[in-house]
Order: sequence, then structure tokens, then C-alpha cells
Amino acid sequence: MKTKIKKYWQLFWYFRKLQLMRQLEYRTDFIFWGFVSLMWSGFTFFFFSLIVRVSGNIGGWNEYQIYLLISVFTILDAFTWSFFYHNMRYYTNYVFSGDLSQFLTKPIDTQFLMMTQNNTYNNIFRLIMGIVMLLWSINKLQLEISLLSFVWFFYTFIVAMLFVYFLWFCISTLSFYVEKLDNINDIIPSLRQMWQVPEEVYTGFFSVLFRFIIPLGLITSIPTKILLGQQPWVSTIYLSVFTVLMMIISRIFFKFSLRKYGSVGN
Amino acid sequence: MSEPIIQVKNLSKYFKVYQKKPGLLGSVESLWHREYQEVKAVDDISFDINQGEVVGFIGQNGAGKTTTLKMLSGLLYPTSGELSVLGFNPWDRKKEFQKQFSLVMGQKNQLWWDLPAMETFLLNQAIYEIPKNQFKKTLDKLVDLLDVKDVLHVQVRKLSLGQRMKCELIAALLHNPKVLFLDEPTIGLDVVMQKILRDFIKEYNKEFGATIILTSHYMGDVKELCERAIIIDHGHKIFDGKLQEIIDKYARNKILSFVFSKTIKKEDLEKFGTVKEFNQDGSLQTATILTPRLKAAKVAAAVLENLPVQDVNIEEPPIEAIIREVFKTGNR
Repeated sequence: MKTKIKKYWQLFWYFRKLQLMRQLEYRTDFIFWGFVSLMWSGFTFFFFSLIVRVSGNIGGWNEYQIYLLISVFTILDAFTWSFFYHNMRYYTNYVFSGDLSQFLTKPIDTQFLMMTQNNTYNNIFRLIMGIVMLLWSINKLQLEISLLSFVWFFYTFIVAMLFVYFLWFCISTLSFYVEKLDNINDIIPSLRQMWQVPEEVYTGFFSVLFRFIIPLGLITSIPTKILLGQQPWVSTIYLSVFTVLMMIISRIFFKFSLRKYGSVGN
Repeated sequence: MSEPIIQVKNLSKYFKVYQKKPGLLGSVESLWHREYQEVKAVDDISFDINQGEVVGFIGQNGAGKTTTLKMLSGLLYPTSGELSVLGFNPWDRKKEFQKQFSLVMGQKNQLWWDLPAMETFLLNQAIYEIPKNQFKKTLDKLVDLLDVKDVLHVQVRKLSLGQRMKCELIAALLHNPKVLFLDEPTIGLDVVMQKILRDFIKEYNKEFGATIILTSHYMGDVKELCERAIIIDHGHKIFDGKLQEIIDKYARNKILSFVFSKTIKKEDLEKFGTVKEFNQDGSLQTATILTPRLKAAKVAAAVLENLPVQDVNIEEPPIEAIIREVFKTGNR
């Protein structure tokens, strides 16, 4: 077991090295997309600052609390966009084109191989921006972050990221059943706006939908509330359990779907 | 006698294929109603392959060759039947099995496009957990056999098709697989490169004793590499045996080629068989006739006796022609 974990750990970092080498082959492209990703985040901050200045608050969150939320969102987005977007896009394409075959013959977990092979580094600028805004917001709000809070924040951040991943993976696995589903990988990117706002904006039916049935509304709110000194234990446990369930479901779904894989003709 | 390394029993694979009516109306109708047809890509085939054999799968497009290979390598789940490769069920996809075989598909590639081939080789070393010394030894051997030392550190996208194919083979063989599935490995390559790859595969089989199954539309691949051939037609196995047996079983005629010392009339030759060619080459006249196999010797003797023959040659028809005839007539 230990050897297996070591092998996968080493392979994970080897892929990171290969991807960096790949992207540095195309310097202009790397810099251009870094600039574009920075613009995206910059615009998000600007957009929300406009709304908050007019309305005073969003869902009861004041200006700097919103900036804190957006910072957490930006950091999460930088990771998901770097590690998930391209892998999911390639995944559906592999199924459609028959290139999945090359992964199925390798003596390594297929899901691991497909999902860790690709990543981008041009979101590093966005990540830095998110961290800077996070620290700035913490300073503005005069928050004191204890070690426990930090560890808790880090834990919920990871859980939130995994939740996004398993949900996205489940949706992408539908490509085994539908011949061509080009826009399937745009579902999660479109849904990002659901966790770009505090969970309190959702009321009535939408509150039930986005806080319980598919808890997208909790993704950014829970880690941010921890930084704000709140103690969302129930939500943390709920999201953790939900993420574990999603992990099991996505794995079973994937294994079952592989039997449907028909490759393509020559 | 050791057990066969590959055992296939009553293997079948059926696909459900959507049948679309032509035209725009057909496309609109398909939005809410689609007709599906079951295609029997592989239908009840059985065969055994022993260690070290090089077997050619011959068949037309859509015969079921690649589908069979994909089931043997665990890519596709069979509809029915039993299958064992190296003692494993391929679709269990056990790591111990995957480390012992390799699948090379001529139209697919595993090399990283933006990086030199060497990076993919190192990646495969990590994936297959090949010890450093063994990796270096195998790599050096393969690079030497395929003569690609100069291109290992060049971006794959900048390599020619032939160079890429060579590197693909190396990537597939670094872990010294016991079983090698080659699906159209020489497709798109020029005749020189085809020869190089054939020589390499022959050498690899000789040196490492690997069992090789090859599918190819180029009969040259099958003739040069395979002693045994399995012919598949519409998902059925219609022949399994030595290549020479295909000729003995399916070749109806032999080809008799003559060079005449004097001019003769075509009608004089037509008495002996179907005249395929009848040419005047300077002062010499040449002709080719087809005659039933069993009568070839007698016909040749008769022509020699009755016509001014300077030279005669009796040969089998090219195997491509025989196979074509087999598929055309649906000969079983």
C-alpha cells in the first residue's frame, strides 16, 4: 500500500513537471493566458464592489466580507480551473474520440491517470491575486485567525474543492451515454456563480436547493465564515459527508460506465 | 505441451448502432425517434495462440479484427464468450496483466505531442515501474534497432510520421511485454519505413520471444511476419492456419507465364486456359494464362509441346488476390 501511494505521489508531481515543461514551450501563450485570467478576477472584484457600494450589503454581508468571500472564491477558482477544467474537457473528448483506450491499457488507475495528467500554470497570477486580496480583506476586517481556524479553513477549502471535482466528474461521465456532449464541461463553470455569493442570498426553494440538495451555495461560504470567526460545524459536517457520498457515487458511476465504452472504429 | 497464451472461446461482441435516415427531414425526425440496429462486430469466434507465435488477422474493413484486439486487451467488454490472455481475464484490467502486454494502434499515439519522445519514455518507466538498469538496456536496444538516437530529444510534433511510429513502438515496448497487439502498425508509412518496421518486429519476436498479433491491410506485413493467419469476415472466423494453407485451400488457379521464341496467335493459347496477358516485347512474345491448380503441370506440358516456348514460369497467384476472391465470393 505504501509503495502504491509513493508511486502515485511521484507520478502526480512528475505530471506537474511535464506540464510546466510543455507550457514553457509556448511562452507567449503562457503569459497571455496569465494576463487573461488576472483580468477575469479583477473584473469579478470590480463587479461586486459596484454592487456592494450601491446596495450596502449582499445577503447581509458587508463590503469587506464580500471581498473576503470573493478572495476565497478566486483562490478556489484558480485551483479548479488549473487542475479540473482541462482534464474534464479532455476526459469527455477521450471518450468521444476513442483515445480513452490508451489510458485503459496502462497499469495504473485510469481515473487518476486521466485526471492528473493535465493542468495549467497560467492561473498562478490569479492565485496570487486571490491570496493578496484575502490578506488585505482580513486586515481590513481586523480579523484574528487562530491556528484552529486556519486548519479548519484549510480543511473546508479542500473539501469544497473535492466536492466541485466529484460533481464535475459525475457530469462528465455522462459522455459515455451521450454520443456528443460538447457543452457538458460548461455546466460546472456556469454554476460557479452559485458559490460566488454568500449562501444567505438563497431563500425559499433556492435555499433548499443550493444549501441542501446540491450544496453549491456552501462551497465558498463555509471557509469564509470560518475566517470571519464563525463556527459553521453543521455545514462543515454536512458538506464533508456530501463530498464523501459524491466520491463514492462518482467512482461507482465511472467503473460502471467503462463497461459501456465502445471505443471507436478505425 | 504448454497451455496457449491466448485462449478465445465463442467470443462475440455486438454493438447497437443508430440508423439515421438521409437528409434534413431524417435529422429532424431523429430528434424524437431513432432506429437502432444490432451490429455483430464479432460473432462466435474461437482460437488459441501459443507463446512466441506471430499471427496475422486478415479481414476487410469492419470485419471485426480491431474489435477482437480490443477485447483481447481489455478495452471492450465482450457480449458473450470466454477469453484468457496470459491467464487473465482482460476486462478485469489487473495491473499484473497490463504490465505484460502492449497495444499499438497505428492511428493513435501515446507520445506527448509538445515534448520530446524521451519524456514519454521516462513517464512510461514510472508507470510500468521499470527498474532503471532494465529501462536503459531495453531503451538502448530498441533505439539501436530502430535507429532513432538523433530524434529522441526532438519535439514529437516535429518528427515525421515514420519517426513518430518508431518512437511509438519504443514507448510500447519499454516494459518488455510478453504479448504485443499491433493494429495497423504500418498504416500511412512509405514502403521503406514499412520494411524497417517489419524487420524490427521480426527481430523483436526473435530476440524477446514475444507473442504478436497483427492486423494489417498490407498483405506484405502478413506475408513477411506471420506464419499463421486468421481470416475474419463479417465477424466470423473463416480460416485459421498457415498462410500457405490459404493458397492451397482458396487458390483455384495457378499462373503460367510464357516467353515465346516465335510469334503465336492468341487463339492458339486460349485453348489451354484463360489468357490474362498477351504482349509483344520487341522480338519476343510474352503471355500469362490462368489454369486450374490441379491441371497446371499438364497444361504447361501441353503448351511446351505445342507452341514455341522459350521460357516458362509457374507460380501461385498473389495472396492479396486470393484473399480478395475469398471475400468477394464469401467463400467459407
